[in-house]
Amino acid sequence: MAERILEIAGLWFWYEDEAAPVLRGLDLAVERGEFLALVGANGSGKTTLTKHFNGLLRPRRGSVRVNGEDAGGRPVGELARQVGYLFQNPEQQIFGPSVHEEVAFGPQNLGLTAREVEARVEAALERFGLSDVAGSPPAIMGYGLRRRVTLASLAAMDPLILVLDEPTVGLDARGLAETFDWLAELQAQGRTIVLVTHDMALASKHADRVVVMCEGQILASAPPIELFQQRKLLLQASLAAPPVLELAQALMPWGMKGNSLTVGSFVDEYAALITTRAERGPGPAEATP
Amino acid sequence: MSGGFDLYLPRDSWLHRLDPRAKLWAVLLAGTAGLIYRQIGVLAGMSILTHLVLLSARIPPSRFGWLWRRLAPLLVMILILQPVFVPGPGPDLISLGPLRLTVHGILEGISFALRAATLAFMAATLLLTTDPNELVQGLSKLGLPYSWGLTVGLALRYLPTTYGLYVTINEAQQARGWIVGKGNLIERGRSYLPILVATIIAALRLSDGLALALAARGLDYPARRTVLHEIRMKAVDWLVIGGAAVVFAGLLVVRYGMGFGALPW
Repeated sequence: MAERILEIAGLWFWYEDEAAPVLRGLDLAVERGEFLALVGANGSGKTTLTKHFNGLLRPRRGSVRVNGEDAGGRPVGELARQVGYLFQNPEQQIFGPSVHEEVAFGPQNLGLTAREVEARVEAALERFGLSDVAGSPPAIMGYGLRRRVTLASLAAMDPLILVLDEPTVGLDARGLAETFDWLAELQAQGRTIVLVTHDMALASKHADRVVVMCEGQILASAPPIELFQQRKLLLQASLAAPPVLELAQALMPWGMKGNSLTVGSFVDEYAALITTRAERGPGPAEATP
Repeated sequence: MSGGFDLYLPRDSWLHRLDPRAKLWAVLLAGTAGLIYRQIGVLAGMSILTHLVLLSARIPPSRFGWLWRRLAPLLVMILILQPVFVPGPGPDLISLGPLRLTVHGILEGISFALRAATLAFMAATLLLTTDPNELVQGLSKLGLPYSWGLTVGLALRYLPTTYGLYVTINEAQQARGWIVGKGNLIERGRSYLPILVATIIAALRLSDGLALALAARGLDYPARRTVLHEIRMKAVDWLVIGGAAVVFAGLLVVRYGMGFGALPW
């Protein structure tokens, strides 16, 4: 049986100034090395849930266990070593006077030696193409670069679990590809990834499992291919299937299986279909895609 | 203003090379001297000396202009309100009902405004020439917990950011047809209210997000924080502190022993 690195049991949470609970008795288990996508409409409780992973929020009822230990009494700083958190808005998480100092801030807090801190910072800067701007103030950089700075800051912490809240907003295609290449490397090294996203194409392409949240509860939890086939459930959660899947499903009358989650798998299946048709030759009553 | 994150202007100068603790003590003593003197001549002298110190640290005069422009609304307010609300003794220059304007009140206004400007420039001497990280380290080494030092450093560093928020919100409100700074004094004041409220809310939101980000990156991790570049007091730093202390003692004697500088004139 796979090891559970995150265990949420009966989690209830409500903010002081709000009458209605944001999380309502939620249960969730995440396995070590899993890539989990957390999806749901605005206000469904995704960010509130993930803020419990590193102690930024504490359960009103229920429990959160991180790496086998109760997170309840542990300070955020201690949990930060295990759970790295990338916030949605880079504006609110950059405070260093230079890119180097910004990236070094976290590792410096962990009591590593100066040499270890420098090694981590250099590796992170190189990974995200920031070595040339290490001495520049991140505050005057463009949004995409600032997003890279926040990713490098997270990488330098080298946590067991990475929680990324909408990490792709503002990233160009190259930045997006690099970010997910990096996440794939981390996953291969046994790190656990929790991706909070509204982008169903990303969730379906990269996640092992998609968890759908709705009104503070988990509505469904399944591998992308199973989950995105459930139209009624998606409707209930105000979500839409990835466009490529919708296209594949629309082409089912012409022989497509309707389960392509990525452009690559769609193209493969479509090409195979066309090749088969070409070899057979179209029948008189047969539809053409 | 570079548009950067803080006021710090990296240069290779004697002031930049000083330990932040030496600068902190010197600014603290100079600031206290600025507070105990009301004499306009003394305050003007302190102000000129501060400008000269900044020039010797290769801070361009354009920075002075930038700071003077930021201070201008506050100074104008002091120059207007002080004589009006605290006219003091002496014959009236102008009298309008309960409002009196006297020479004493005007000189007091000039003294207060000059003092505010001098203190701001003294603080700028520290902020323009000290690496923010070294400043935080200096505060920590003076006994302040790291998180307190960091808070002070961030608060000082975020002054330009908060001003940037104000400018953005001001422009956004005006783009939506809000007229700012027109009419009499009360109407002008009221026109700024929606901008100030929005700025305060945005600043609070920013600080809230920042607090979470600091915590999420291990601010309260139970280990001694790694210092990458340790600051060290050198002979010249002790000399600066000693010199500042001697001058301060002299100013104390002149002010309280000889009674000079208690009045604006």
